[in-house]
Amino acid sequence: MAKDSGQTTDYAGPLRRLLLIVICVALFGLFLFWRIDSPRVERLRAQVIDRLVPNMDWAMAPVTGLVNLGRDFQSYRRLAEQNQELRSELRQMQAWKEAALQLEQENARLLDLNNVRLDPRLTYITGVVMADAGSPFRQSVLLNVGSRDGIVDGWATMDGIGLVGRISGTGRNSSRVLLITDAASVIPAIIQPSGQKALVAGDNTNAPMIDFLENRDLVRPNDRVVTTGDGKVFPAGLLIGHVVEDRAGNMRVRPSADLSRLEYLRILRHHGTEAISDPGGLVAPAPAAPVEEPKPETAEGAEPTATEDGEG
Amino acid sequence: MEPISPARIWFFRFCYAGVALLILFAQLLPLDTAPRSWAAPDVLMCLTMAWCVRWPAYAPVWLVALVALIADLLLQRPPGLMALLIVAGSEYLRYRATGPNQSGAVIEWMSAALVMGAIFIVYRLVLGMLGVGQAQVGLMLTQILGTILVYPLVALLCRVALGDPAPVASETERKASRI
Repeated sequence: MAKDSGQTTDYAGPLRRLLLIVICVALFGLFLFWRIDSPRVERLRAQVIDRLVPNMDWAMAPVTGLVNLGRDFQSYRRLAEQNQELRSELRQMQAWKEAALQLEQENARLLDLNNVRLDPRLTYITGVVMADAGSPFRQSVLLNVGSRDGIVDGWATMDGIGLVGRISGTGRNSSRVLLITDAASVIPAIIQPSGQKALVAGDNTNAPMIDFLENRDLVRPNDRVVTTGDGKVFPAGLLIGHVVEDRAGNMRVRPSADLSRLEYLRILRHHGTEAISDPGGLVAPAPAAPVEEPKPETAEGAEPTATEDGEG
Repeated sequence: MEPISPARIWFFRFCYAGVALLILFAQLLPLDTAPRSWAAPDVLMCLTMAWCVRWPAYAPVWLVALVALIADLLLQRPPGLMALLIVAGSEYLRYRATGPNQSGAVIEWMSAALVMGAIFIVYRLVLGMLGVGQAQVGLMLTQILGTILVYPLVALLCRVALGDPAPVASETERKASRI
């Protein structure tokens, strides 16, 4: 590469060239290794980030805070019109609040009647966003909780309203959340109320695409998109967003989570959905039982009940 | 020629690493996590190229490679590829580009622009050949254009901060850039 006539006379020249070649080979080797065995190198990357980024956190947090403060000051200028908007929104909200309160009471009453116990295993850990991907080509954020806090790859992350992404890569003190807008993110989803199954695939835009839709005609803008438990990645029923149609006529999801300003994220602990493999003892007789035998049994069993009924 | 003292060389090497970390730090700030339709210029690449053309002694190969590799790891790029291309590009500029003292700023800008454009294109081609998923072309184009446009500004700032470029073939510099 550095074939330079002026340099070859200097004894430093060959040494330098050797160093250059070694560096180039090492870098290319690392890239090839990443292409062949990506998980191992990604783990290395997570460790390096885990070492470097939490050290910068003491400086990052104040700088981010200051910039956000500045932005808030800018929004003060529009205070009057914002006030107006808020007032009218508040009026609408009060009507909604009334409806919500009634529904909540009804819900509580029904739950009480049914003696429902909500899934106690779906608990969450809250993490703070430390850094983002730093590159316009990837959509991810770094959280300040890691394997030390029991975070496991693949868990769902929400911002309180909607799905934000999934954990992809954990270090000891940090973990990366792959946002649903990243091009590598594909999530199985179901569209309500039509019940159509689809995949929500990110493509580096604000609204991820809806792919592999069974029947497009049943889906309308503003339908809710929620996760299914398919693939055993996510718990079922997490809100992703609402359907919108873009200019080209493609169906997309507008995420419910506010992806432009992520600060605190919830990571849902998920221990996998239990698969029901056998019919269970109470519902039906075990399938291992011979087919001929049950016939007389049921016949005998049926007769006494019939006689009992007759006696009663 | 005024010889450059080793202390000065090492000081500016530290400066290079420090400024590079500062740029990465700024990029990592979680200010806007929504996807954008344009990409910010790669200031770190501009800085590296500018230092390699004008002050080769202050940005030795190993330091350039180390900084580029850390950037690869932090910015979620495929590790190694961009670093390799940056090392190759900066080496080319260091030795093959017209000598910094003979050529004007425009020539320097053009050669740096060509090299940086080539880096981005080769990066995309290699990723495409190996079947790695990539972002949209438009995003990449805005980044290439922005990087080329921002280069003179970075070079000017470096010039203000570092003073006149070191003489290219002086004995001290060649000794300093040995390793």
